[in-house]
Order: sequence, then structure tokens, then C-alpha cells
Amino acid sequence: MPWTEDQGVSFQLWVRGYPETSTTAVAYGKIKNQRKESIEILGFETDEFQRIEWHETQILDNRVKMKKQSFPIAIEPGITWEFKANGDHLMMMERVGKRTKEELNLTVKIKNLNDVRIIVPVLEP
Amino acid sequence: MKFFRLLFLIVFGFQCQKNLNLLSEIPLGGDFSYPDKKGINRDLSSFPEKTVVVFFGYTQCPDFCPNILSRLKKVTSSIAVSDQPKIVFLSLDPERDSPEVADKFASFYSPNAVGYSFDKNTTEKIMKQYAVYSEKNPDGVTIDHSTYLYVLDKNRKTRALLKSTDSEAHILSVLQEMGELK
Repeated sequence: MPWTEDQGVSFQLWVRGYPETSTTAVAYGKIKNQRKESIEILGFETDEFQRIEWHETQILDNRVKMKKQSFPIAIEPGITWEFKANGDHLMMMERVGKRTKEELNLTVKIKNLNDVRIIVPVLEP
Repeated sequence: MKFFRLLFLIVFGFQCQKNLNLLSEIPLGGDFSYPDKKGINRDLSSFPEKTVVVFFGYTQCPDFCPNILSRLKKVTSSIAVSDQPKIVFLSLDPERDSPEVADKFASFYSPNAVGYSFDKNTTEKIMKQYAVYSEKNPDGVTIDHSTYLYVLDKNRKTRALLKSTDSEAHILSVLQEMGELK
């Protein structure tokens, strides 16, 4: 999957396909900070879901727990942050409008940088 | 706490048995028969499959629940069609999950899966039967819950508990062993 680079920050994100009845979805992938200083992610937005939260799935003692991470979230220079199944992920909540089957427009808000607009593919589950 | 003690003993016992490669009956889970939220009776004995895998979750779970269903799809695809288990997804979220939504969710991620949603009282009865933990988070959306997969034989007796963290090779070997049970 190709990376999208903007202002020294690279993104390789994808959304897992979800059923038409679902009001939530998940995005996985990577964000790489290639700048010389740390960046602070302030949030994510899309027209297709009311809100996007950064969650971490924790499995402890055979129980799954969802832990919400609070923005801003810093990524140090040279670090690649990975969103993956049963780990950190972007939880998209309260879908508005029709289900996206192919791609989704995502805006990433980063402190002191212009908003980054990327197109995120929707992949088969 | 009683549930967790019981669950611990069962899992501990199962782990001991696993080394002997035996799949003895576990006094937990098993068959049930209740009407779903639409009034359609649902049970586990009406499936023709020799093995049933029961899994609890909720449809607004975007990460863990689809991952489990997708892993089961991958694992079971390498089993002969005649020995493939039926996967039954039981909703822990009776307030938000309709039977239709639960079923579409399950079958979307795993074609050999069905999803059921019962009313609150019935859901609680089944959870008790399976010693399932579940707790809604303050965000009102996500639910913390236990992660076991319950493997039932043709008589719909529980024969194995699988952990979500078990390797696909282990899950496959248990399901293959189940397929060989008389």
C-alpha cells in the first residue's frame, strides 16, 4: 500500500470493510513522523462518521478492554506509530450517510501544521 | 466472583487435559433454546454441523469482534467443508443489536457464522450459563467482555475453551480434533 506524505508526516492507513448495518468502523495502518521535531496529533475527522477516537484494545485475563486515548498524542521524530488489530486503532463512530465501500476521506489535525487530507482505502475484512 | 472461580477451575482443568490431547466435556455453556428478539426460537442443536463455536461480542465493536470472526473464517477455511464448524455470535448488547444486525455482522466477517440477539433477560441467562463477563463503558458505546471461544460437540456439550490469543494452529488442531470425535 502506498504512503501519503504531507509536511514531513507520512500516512499509510486503511479502513476495514464493514457491514452496511454497522455504525462503527476501524482504521489501521501507520503514521511516520519524518520531521526533525515531534508532532502532536490533535484529532481525525471524516464526513462519514461523527467522530473518530484513538483506542487501544487490551486483552488481559481473557477479557477485552477498550481504552480511549486522549488527544493530543505526540509522535517523536523518526518514529512510526502503528495501528493494528487488537492494539491501537482509530475507531470511527456514529456513521452518517451511506456505507463507504471503496475509500474514505480523512482529515488529520496536527498541531502547528496545516490539516492533512488523505484518501484511505476500504479493504476487505 | 463465583463465575470467575468456576471459569478458572474449568480453564485450568482444560489446560491440564490439553496435554493429554483429550477433549472431555466441560460443565459450562452448552445448548440453549430461547426466542430471539423477533420471537424466532434459536438453539444450537438445529445446526447440522458436528461442531459449533460460540463467541460473545457486540456489533459496534470495530476491532476485537471482527478480528475473531475473521480469524475463525481463515482457520476454518482449511478444514474440509463437511467438518467445518458453525460459528454462533451471541450479542452482549441486547439494547442496540437487533437479530438482523447481529446476524449481518457475523456473516459479513465469517460466512459460516450466524448472529443472534436476545432480550436482556435471556442474554443474561445465556451469559450466566457460559460464565461470560460483560460491562458497558462510560462512553456508552464500547463494552468490555470476556473473550473465550466455546467449542461444542454434536450433542452441543462444551468440549473446549479457546482463548482469543491462541494461535491459529492451535485453534485449527482443536477444531480438527473435534471433527474426529465420534
